[in-house]
Amino acid sequence: MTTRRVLVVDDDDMLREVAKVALEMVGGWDVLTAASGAEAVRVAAAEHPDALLLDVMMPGMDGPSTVAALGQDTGTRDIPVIFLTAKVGGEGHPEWEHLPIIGVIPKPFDPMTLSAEVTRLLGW
Amino acid sequence: MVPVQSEDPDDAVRSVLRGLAASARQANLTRTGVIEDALRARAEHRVTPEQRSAAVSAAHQVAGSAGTFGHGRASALAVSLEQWFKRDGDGVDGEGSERDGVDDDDGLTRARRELDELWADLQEPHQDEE
Repeated sequence: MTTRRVLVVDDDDMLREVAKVALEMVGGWDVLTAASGAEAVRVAAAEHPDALLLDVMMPGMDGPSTVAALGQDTGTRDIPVIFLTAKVGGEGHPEWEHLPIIGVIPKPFDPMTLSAEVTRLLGW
Repeated sequence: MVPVQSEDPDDAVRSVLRGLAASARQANLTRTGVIEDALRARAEHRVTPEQRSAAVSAAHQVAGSAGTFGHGRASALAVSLEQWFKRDGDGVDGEGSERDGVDDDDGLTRARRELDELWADLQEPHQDEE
């Protein structure tokens, strides 16, 4: 069986590390990381991960901009993307409705169940 | 003899969490300073769009980080502060000039209290923190 590879993108060093460890140790996956949207686009094009776990609010290229950039490249446009974002008051995000994302995982997340949530959203 | 590696994955993740918790808490305390600067400037009617945006971003980061590292109350307070800065910013015109009456003094006072509570909450190490 092939091990899944997931790219975790977050500008918060600590959250990136927690997500990486959780997905590696609990999920048993290989995890790549990127600290910005621009870096995520480069890593995705070079490594072709099976999925992206993408923070929404980042300086520079934010989550939606990163999704748009991935969509410009035939090599990355089909990589499934899950947004990872701090939930604000239960408000919806109609501005994301046109984006080709698989789902949203709210922060704070539970490291123990993160891989299960990703698995559920991706149907793995 | 080859040592037996039998650590439970959940224990390993919790160990990493404990190791990162102090650094995360310190980073979040630094972020409260950004919120503090913007809130003080807002109270003095001299907040800039950049300060407001930085405060929204800092509060958003605290909301996501603090809860993951066991500070649920801090996370909720940060969400409230993020909402307040966004709501308050809705009354700023395109030139960045602030109009009066966007949010009343009660709102500003409440934001001040929430920031104080947030800072106090983050002063306390989480029980699992190393």
